[in-house]
Formats: sequence, structure tokens, C-alpha cells
Amino acid sequence: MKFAIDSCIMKKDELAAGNSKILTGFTAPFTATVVEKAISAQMEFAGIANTTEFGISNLVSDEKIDGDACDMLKNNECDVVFSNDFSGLLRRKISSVNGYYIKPTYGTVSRFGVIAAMTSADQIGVASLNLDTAFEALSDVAGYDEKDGTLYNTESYAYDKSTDVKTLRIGVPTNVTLTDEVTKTIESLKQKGASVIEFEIPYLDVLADVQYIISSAEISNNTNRFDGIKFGYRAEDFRGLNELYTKSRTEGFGLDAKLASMMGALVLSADYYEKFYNKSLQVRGLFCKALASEFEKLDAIILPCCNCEKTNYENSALTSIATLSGVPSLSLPNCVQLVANTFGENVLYALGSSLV
Amino acid sequence: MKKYELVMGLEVHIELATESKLFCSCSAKFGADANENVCPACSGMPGMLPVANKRAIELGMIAAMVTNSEITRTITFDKKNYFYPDLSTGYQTTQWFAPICRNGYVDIDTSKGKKRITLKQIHIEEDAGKLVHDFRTDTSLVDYNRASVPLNEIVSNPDFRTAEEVILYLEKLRSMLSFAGVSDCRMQEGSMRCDVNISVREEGSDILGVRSEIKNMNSLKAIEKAIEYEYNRHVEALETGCEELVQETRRWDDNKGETYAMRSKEDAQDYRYFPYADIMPIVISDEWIAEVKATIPELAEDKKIRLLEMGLSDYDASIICVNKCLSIIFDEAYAYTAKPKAIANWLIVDLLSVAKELSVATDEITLNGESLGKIIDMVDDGAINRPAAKKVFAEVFKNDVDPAKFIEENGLGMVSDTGLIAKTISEILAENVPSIEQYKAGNEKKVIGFFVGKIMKATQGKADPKLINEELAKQLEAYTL
Repeated sequence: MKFAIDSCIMKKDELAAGNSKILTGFTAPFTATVVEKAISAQMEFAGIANTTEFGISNLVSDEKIDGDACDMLKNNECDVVFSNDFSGLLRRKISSVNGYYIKPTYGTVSRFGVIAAMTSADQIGVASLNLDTAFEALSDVAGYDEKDGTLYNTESYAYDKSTDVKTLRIGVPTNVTLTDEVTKTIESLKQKGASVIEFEIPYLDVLADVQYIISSAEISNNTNRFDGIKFGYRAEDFRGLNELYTKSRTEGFGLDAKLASMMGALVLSADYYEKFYNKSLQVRGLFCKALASEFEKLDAIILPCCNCEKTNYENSALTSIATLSGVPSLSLPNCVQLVANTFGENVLYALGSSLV
Repeated sequence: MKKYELVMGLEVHIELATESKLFCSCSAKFGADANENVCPACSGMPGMLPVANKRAIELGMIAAMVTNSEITRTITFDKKNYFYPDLSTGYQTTQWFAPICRNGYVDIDTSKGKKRITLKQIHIEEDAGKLVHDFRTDTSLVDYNRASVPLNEIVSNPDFRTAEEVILYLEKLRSMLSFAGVSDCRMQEGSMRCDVNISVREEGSDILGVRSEIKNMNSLKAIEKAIEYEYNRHVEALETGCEELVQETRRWDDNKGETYAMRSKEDAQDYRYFPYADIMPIVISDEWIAEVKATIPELAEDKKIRLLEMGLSDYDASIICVNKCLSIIFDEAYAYTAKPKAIANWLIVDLLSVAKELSVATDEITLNGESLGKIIDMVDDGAINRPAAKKVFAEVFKNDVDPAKFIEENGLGMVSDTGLIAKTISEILAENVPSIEQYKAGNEKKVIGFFVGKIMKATQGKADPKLINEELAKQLEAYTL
């Protein structure tokens, strides 16, 4: 099996630029655990998939990203791509190549060696054109690593699709516009014997904002270290330390990284911490609790992972359900998304298989 | 003139005595070559994740226990953002929301009686690297050896009213924390640092004056002088209006003996503290606390009680127990020979003066305690005399020599060869017949003193005085004029 990694995952001596000018020429000084695990599972390294700058949502920049995970899969350059899709961009785009993306439970795959972006939600997932291949690769790389303190103690995971779909209770949200494809999929699951229950996704109207505020705060902090001093890009003309910082960062970061950086600094500042950042943390906490209580009566949720009539920002609410709460999600062809409870990967696998 | 009083609060940083750094396995030892103890984590490479050092948290727990603080049962770490080249990641990892402990206190004995200093909190955080400026080439270099070395910051409430209280508090902290093994608390090496928040108000007022924060004092003496300087500056400003006091951070210049402004409140940075999601909350259980408590070594106060029970004076016991180095040497020597008073004398009289002569700071003294025990025994057994013992002692201090070997090699041992002593005495008697006549005439005391002096001189002070007295008396009695 051939694997690619996104440009924020490090493999020793390979360029690890996160598609950012600020990391021009930066080669990884060590190898990410996910890469080591893939190689020791006899997988073959096939290259690096391009991303937006540090994987940040492209809200203002409309730069076209060539050679990304979808391109590599479509061109048969690899069988799977490991990627930290904290923004949901890849989960929303994977349908364009009729592919799958499995984002596992937060704390399942080691993030050691991944250039941090949204620290509290960074999680490596797997993109593939084949569902079985995606879960096989995930089984290979998931599991405990002493270098990442956020991981569960589970040594390894072996995912399977044997769960009987007839026993599963599928939640259909009443506060999301369901696409025709989603409606069709619901019918298909009903025919296979799954029960369908209507419910409301809690806090849906503010999830995109919470996602943006928290991710901006964490991105602004995580990109602090790219200061033009020790590695990567450095401005040529500068007078004094402050100008070196300012010029290197002004020239080195793209528009969306700058916007996230400024927005993050703002929401963490003494004047706005309570109003924006802490409020978002509180909402996130309430959301996680409410979602967990929905999962007491549901095994999975079905909804679109994007809606063509809506903006990227609005659609991010749909993928941020799994990002903010840390539960697993599976993106299927036709922009259909399944979300399960913590450690519900096997439910997703079984449901996904039944639809192939 | 109105009467004024000082109001001060202290922020004390101590480097924790761990083997490794706070979030990686690099050595935390002081004194390595530049950037020798550095890895991708503490030099701020992307992709690295922090793994919290359990020992650092335990030392924080011990600091909490010895300062009577309430341990926080679920602690978290946070990020403090600022740009400075000595900070490899662009943020410092610290504890802002749930520090290791709160609400402690330290009691001190001042000249006006007992006083309780209350503590706001202690938190665990990482140190920054160090910048080295080369003015000839106009470059600045950074050494990350110290980056991510674990610290405790001990934050007091504004309870101090005099410089004496500040100094006593710092001495007490240093004694408690070094005895408990939390830190070696060496101000010269920077493993104990102190910032003083200082304001002055009219006596009796309960409104706080304008505050200045003084930094960069690396000795107790400097702290005392800086407080005095700031007090005078504030009082003069309040009295004459010659200067408008503003809330600011000031640096102490030890050479000039004055403080100068570093940055004012308007320049104060917004550190944008927020939770560090890579470090999961750490739960401190009753079991863990009990386990850690059992490992705390004997503290200064308990040690003093033990020394008093051995029969040492309060003065001697206090001197030994205020200094971790002396107390370690005391225990080593005592283990070799149970003579507490002799050991205390050597430590307080001889060791401190030798250290002073050689400009060794009192908190950096090392001495082989077992060797001291051997010297004491040799003096008691009459194998060496006191002047010789002092020579050996100085060599043990400087070069850790083996006392017995050094005495032999340098011929410092007592002459106890009765034949040799007898021969020397008979020669001296033969040369001083008039004195023998005086002796026979009844002037015994004076003559014996005269002969003993002569004999000591002839034997270079190494003859056993007891043997000299016996042999001299014998020969004088037997001498026939």
C-alpha cells in the first residue's frame, strides 16, 4: 500500500513547509510517529500532498492548491493520504473524487511530528478512494505513543465492519438542510433495517464561529515560532529585531494565516478574552455535553458534509461537529457525512460499507 | 516630615532540582557548553509535543507542602505569548488558571517578633534561554541550555513592611526549599531569583501607593540596597513632587547602586494566556500526595531540634541549619565520628573563614565530611596537633586530599618516638646549664616553660607535649650539677 502525507506532517530530511513561504527550505529534523508506524506496517512512502497554508481554511485567499490529497488519489499516486484536516476542507472536498475520509476519535493517532495548527483538535485522518483501504491504513497507524500526551492508552486498534446495520439508530437532524443525496442515503439505510430518529444538532448556528475563534487563537500561537530567526524564511532588509520579525512574518505568511493570526491575537487579548475566546470554550463545552446526551439514544448521525449553495465558512459548521467534539466522522462520496460517538469508528465503517 | 511605610510583595523564581527539563528529556544541569543540552522540543522545532516531567510536578508539590499551601487537585498548563529570541516557541508554558497550589504562608522571626508572610500561589513554568551579546561584532547569540528548565514562581501577597522581613523570608525560603531538595537556590547561578514589587504610603493609610517592580538583583545584599534606594526615591517624590511616580518595571544596577526604568505600564505586554491543549489536566490524588510527602528529606527546623538534642548551642545549631551545605557536611562528619561539638566548631570557625578567604559563596561550599571526621579523631588521638590539623583541613577543602596520606607526605604527624625526644632534651639541657641551676634553686615553673619552648622549636612543634613533659621532668630530676 502506498501512502502520502500532507505537507504539515514531517518525515526526516523531507521538506516540511506546510505550504508556507515562512518555512521555505525547512526540512524535517525528525519523523512523525504516523509515518514511522506506516512504514513499519510495510506501507510505501509515495510523497507529500499539498495543502492550504498550514491546512488553514481558505476564507480570503483563492489560491488554487495543486497536487493536494484529492489530486494524488485521483492520479493514482498513492492509495491513502494521512492528513490533519482540522479545518474540514479535505472532508468537504473528498467527494469531488468520489473518495472517503475517516477522521478518528481525538486521541487515537499520534500527532508527534505534525506541525501544530488547531492544537485542541489536530487529529490525523485517512483519505482514500476505497473505504476498506482507508480503515486498514487507520488500523496501522492508530494507537498509543508516549510522545503525545493526549492519546488514549489503547496500544492498537483493529477496525472492523461486522456491526449489524439493523441494530443501529441513525439520527437525522431537523435543523440542517438535507441534500437529495443525504435523503437518498437515509432511505437506503432504512431499507437495510436501520432505525431513523429525528433530532436537533445542538448549538449548530454558532459552531462555525466557535470553530473559527478557537482555531484562530491556537493557530496564532502555534505560528509564533515562525519568526524568521532560526529557520525558514527571513526578510532581507531589516533594521533591528522588531523589523526582522515584522518583515519576515509579513512577507512569509499568506492572507489566511495572517487573518487567523490577527484574529487569534484579538480573541485572546485581555479586552476580548472573555467575550470571544472564553465564551467559545464555554459553548464548546456545552456543545460536547449536549452532543454526548444525543448519542445516548443514537449510534450515528447523518448529514451533508457540505452544501454547494453555502459558503465555505457556513459549511465549516457541518464538519466542525466532529472537529470541536473530538468524535469520529466519515465523509462519503456525494457529500454525505456520518458522525458517530467517541470510539464509534466501527459503526461508521459498517454503515459506510453497507452503502458502497 | 510625614511618616512613611513600605509595602512590598515578592515574586521568587527557583529552578527545580530535576535531572531533565520540564517537557523533554534534555539535561537541566547548569554549566554545560552553549546549546549542549538542546533537542528539537526545547529549541522550538515545529512538530514537537510536550511531555510533562513528573518529577517537576512532585517538586512543586513539595514546595507547596513546606509552605503550608493548598495543593490544587487538578492542575493545568497554559501558554503565555510573547516574542523574544530567548523564547524558542514564541510562548512560555506556565500555569495561569490552575497553579500547583494557593494560599500558603511562611513564618519568619524578625527583630520585632514573629511575622507571617502569606502566599498567593506557587506555579510551575519553564525558563527561557539566554542571550549572549557580542558588542564587537554587533551580534546576539542564543543559548537554549536553560530553555524549558523547570521553575517554581512563588508569589507572595504584599505583606512585607521592611527590608529585614524580605531578607529573612528569602533566607527562610532558601533554607526550606534547599533542605527539601526542591532547588539548590543559588542566587549567584540564578537558580533563585527575586523580583520585588514595592510601593510607599503614609503610615496608617490603607491605600496602596504607586507600585514599581524591581528586577535583576542577584544577591541578598543587592536586594537590601535596592529596597532602600527605591524607598528613598518614592519618599522624595512624595515629599517634594520632584518626580511623578508611575507604575513601571525597574532594573537594579549593582555598580551604580541605583534603579532605572525598563518599561512603564503603558508598554506592558498583553500575554494572551490560554490553555495548553497538548498537556492534559493532571489529577493530584491523595495517594500521590502521601507518596511524595514520605520522600521529603529532613527540613531545617527538624534538623535544628535534632542538633539541639545532641547538645549543640542554639547559636551553633542555627548557623548549621540555615545552610544546606554545612548541614550536609555535618551529617557526613557525624556519621564518621559522633562528636557534634567538635564538628560544629570546625564548620563554624574554620570552614566559614577558609571559604571566605577563598571567596567561595556560603551556599556553594563543599567539603568531604568524612575527612573532617578523620581530622577530628586524629587531633583527639594526639596524632596531629591543632596547627597541623588546620593545614590538612585547608587542603581537604581545596583539593579533597586524603588526610592521613597528606599528613604522612608532608611530615605533619606528631613525633612520638621517646628515644628521639629524650635525645633532643638531653642535648638542650647540656647547652643550658644555667637554667638547670635556676631549676634546682626552686624556679621550677619558669624553667620548665623555657625548656618546653626550646624543645617544641627543635621538633618543629610536632612532638607530643605529654611525652615532652614526662621526659623533661625525668631528666631534670636526674640531672646532677
